[in-house]
Amino acid sequence: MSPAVAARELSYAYGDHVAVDSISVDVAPGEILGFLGPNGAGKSTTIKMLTGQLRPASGTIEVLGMAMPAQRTAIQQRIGVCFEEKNLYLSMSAEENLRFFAQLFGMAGFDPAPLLDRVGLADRARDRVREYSKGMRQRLMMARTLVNSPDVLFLDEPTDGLDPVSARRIRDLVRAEAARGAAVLLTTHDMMEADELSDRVAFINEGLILAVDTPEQLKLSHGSRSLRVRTRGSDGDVGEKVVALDDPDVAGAMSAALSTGDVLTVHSEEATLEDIFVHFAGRGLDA
Amino acid sequence: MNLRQAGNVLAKDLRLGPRSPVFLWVLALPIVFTFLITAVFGDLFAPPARLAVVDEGSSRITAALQQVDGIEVTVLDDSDAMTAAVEAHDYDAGLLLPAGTDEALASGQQTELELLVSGQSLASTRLVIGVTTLDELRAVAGSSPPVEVVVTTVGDQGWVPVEDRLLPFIVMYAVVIAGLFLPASSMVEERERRTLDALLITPVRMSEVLVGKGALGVILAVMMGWVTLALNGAFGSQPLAMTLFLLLGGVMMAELGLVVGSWAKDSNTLFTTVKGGALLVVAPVLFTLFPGLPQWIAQLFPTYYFLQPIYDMAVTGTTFSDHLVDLAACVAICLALIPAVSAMGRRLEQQMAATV
Amino acid sequence: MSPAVVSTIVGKDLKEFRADRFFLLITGLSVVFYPLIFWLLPATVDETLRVGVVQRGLDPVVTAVAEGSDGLAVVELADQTALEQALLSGEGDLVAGLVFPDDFVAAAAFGEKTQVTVLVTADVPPEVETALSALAGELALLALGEPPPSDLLAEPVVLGNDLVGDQVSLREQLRPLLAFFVLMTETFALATLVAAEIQTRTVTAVLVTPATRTDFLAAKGVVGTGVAFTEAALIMALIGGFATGAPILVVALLLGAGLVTGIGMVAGSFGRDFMTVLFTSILIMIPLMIPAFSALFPGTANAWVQVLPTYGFVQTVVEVTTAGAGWSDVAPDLLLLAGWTMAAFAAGWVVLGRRVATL
Repeated sequence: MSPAVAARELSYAYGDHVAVDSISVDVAPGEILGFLGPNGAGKSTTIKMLTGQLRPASGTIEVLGMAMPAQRTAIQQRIGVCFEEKNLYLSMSAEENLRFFAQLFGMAGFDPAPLLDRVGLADRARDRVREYSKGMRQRLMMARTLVNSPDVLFLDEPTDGLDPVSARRIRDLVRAEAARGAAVLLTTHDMMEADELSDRVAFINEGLILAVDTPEQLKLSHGSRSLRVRTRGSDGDVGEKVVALDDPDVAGAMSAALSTGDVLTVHSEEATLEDIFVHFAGRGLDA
Repeated sequence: MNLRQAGNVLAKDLRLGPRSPVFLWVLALPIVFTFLITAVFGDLFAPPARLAVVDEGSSRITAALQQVDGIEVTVLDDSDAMTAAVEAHDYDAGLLLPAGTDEALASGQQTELELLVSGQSLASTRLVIGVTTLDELRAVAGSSPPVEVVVTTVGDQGWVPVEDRLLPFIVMYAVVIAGLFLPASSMVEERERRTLDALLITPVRMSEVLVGKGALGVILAVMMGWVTLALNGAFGSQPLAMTLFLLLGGVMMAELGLVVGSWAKDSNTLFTTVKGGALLVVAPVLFTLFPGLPQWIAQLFPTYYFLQPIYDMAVTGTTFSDHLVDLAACVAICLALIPAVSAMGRRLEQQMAATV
Repeated sequence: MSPAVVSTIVGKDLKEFRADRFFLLITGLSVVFYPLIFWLLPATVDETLRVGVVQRGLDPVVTAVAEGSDGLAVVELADQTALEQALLSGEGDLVAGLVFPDDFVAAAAFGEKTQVTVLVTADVPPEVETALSALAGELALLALGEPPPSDLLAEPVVLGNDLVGDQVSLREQLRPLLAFFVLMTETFALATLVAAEIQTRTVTAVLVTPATRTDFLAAKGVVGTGVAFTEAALIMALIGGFATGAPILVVALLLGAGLVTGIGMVAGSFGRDFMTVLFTSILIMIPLMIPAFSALFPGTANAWVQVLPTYGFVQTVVEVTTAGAGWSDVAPDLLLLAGWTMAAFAAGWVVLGRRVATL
């Protein structure tokens, strides 16, 4: 199956600063690709090129088999974009916001109720967005992104700053859209979200793609497994030992750790995506 | 260019309009100004003479004075109140007509009448009131002068009262606030709130956004121009021609508004620019207000070419064919502004995309 | 309340004012244009009707009438042609002319009616036209020896100070209006500053430091009053407003600045963004401008105008600058202004304080 989004050798610079340096990325229909990187890594610039907001300095983009920017209007008819900034019309109600954008997509007779119900805003549909909480505005942003039942979704930090309940709701929506067959490109610097949602994760830093693979494979290939043993010694002090499971003499190391005192807890640990990122980039996601 | 999309943007702005203070000001200000200016400034530059009369005998003099054009006569009941009011300069003068004044005059008696004059009244006003009153006293006394007075006006018959000369100001305000300020502030607001990003990610193009917002400005400019002319009774005999110039003026102002609105990065900058550059728009009005100024200077400003024809047709009675050159100039200016609007729109789109 | 904290916030607010292009522009324009407008307006009031007269044999009558009225100046001309040319060219600032026929005296003596022409330019008001027609008749009757039926014109009773020759010019009447416009601009400046602090929640950040709500409100009061007073005083100085009664005017300006500061705090509390603050401020200011406009018109202001908050300010400035009033003359107006200032300031304090507390 051909990818829904296919970008090759994309580059962009703001003056002398190279924001994106010859990156290539594919997203298949029904796939969720997590774009993981710190602030200023080039995530937003990449999204802007893929959605037609910026013209790449070099490289090619195909979305749903159509070339960007040559067929920009046709492509934008079939994509949905959720911006990091909550750029809603505050003086309009949720219903009015959705109806307006539906009109822009040429959707005659659009009924916003089912979509608002899906994001849990049905009972506030006629209230002005100005009165909405942060979580409500983000849910409305998602609803607006789905107005035209897009085949490709570009989601920029969709759960940033949300409480756990609202964030879970958004993630459920994203999964449902992927299950429907939409290709999803999700940018985030929340590694747990990327881990939870993404079928594949792409690490980006300083305009370069460092690695692309499933979270599981990245951890297996580049992470290290360990056991963390906590014991209480004869003097009453609590101590901790970490046993690397990849150590050739793992049995000896385990035995030594267990014999340091009364065993309190034993936990197995595996590498996090942030650990993997640090491994590749030499810096943390928030550095 | 997809006009349907431009129409969608227009419809959205129209729906949002009443929720915006700018929109409400577009509708209200020209009407407020019409009343303010005609009520305030007309009288300020040419205040009428004010005479209070206490008439204790229903004299014919009171009725005669009330018929005099340009003297405001107020009949009071109490002479003490009249005295206090004249001293407070609520009236320029006060006249007490005791009972039997008419009879005394008719019998040829020298009548003791008192004209109270406010110390703050102008000497010329005192003269006008005094001489006019005296003339009426003579008429009641049956004494007519041995002359037939013929009044002849010399010079420019087309002198226009100041309140009529203020018409371009009111029309300008209506057209500029609606045509220029509304699209400009709408563009700035969409930029500040980044809703412009959301628009441009759909099939809508920047050109369609500009056309939609400009169209709203033009429609309201023409509408408020009509309202202003109607309130001032100034449509004259050329309503269609005046509408055409209002339309061209609205387009011109909308284009300027879109240029400024695309350029200004926030409301503060927009307002500063509009305030600072207001002279470019307002200048022709000053030349109408003060006809003694060299009129050729007014022709250097673009708003001259729709304001002056409207003024001339409304006040001095010219016809459409007298303003074909102005029409051509308006059209030329409107056409010349199109590339500027387009360029600023493209620039804005690039700036929006390049900022996080 | 901590003076050190208040002065810190005041310093920050003044920096924000200075960094705001819009207000720098408006302030700069005000300092240039208001005095320019003021000094370009005429300093004197023309209260004389200059009338050209063409006549033979009426010298004593014409001279007597002209000398008996401060409002009439007569210029003798040789003939109607010369009079018309003078009217058209503006020579001698003539507004009208009277043309008596050469044989008027003789004809009148025989009881014959003759024609007197009153020449006027198109901008002569109708009452002047009527008065000149009446004057022509009056001159004719006086020439025949017929006295007027009443001495009311020769001996009017002048009430109050007679200001003939010393009238209050339009520019002097404009002083309160100009001062008010300056204060109004600074109201909007403060309202914008307050609204921005609320919208961006920087006030919340301030209030989690040792700064208290009282410190914050006091700082806004100081900044608003200080900036408004300074600019108003500067403009007044530039338009010669302090020539008489300077101490009274300083007090009036201070109170006026306090009044608009309270209003600015209220307007800023409700403003969501620049445009809303602008139009809310203008909406509040329009009725407050009425007393200043009312001062341009003669006579006592209507009762409802006298209860408007800015009436006391306007009256004080008018009385002091045009009539040389002293403290006792303007005490009632100053007291009224002080009362409104305290009310506005209290309202601003409460409204803004509540708004800040509920953020």
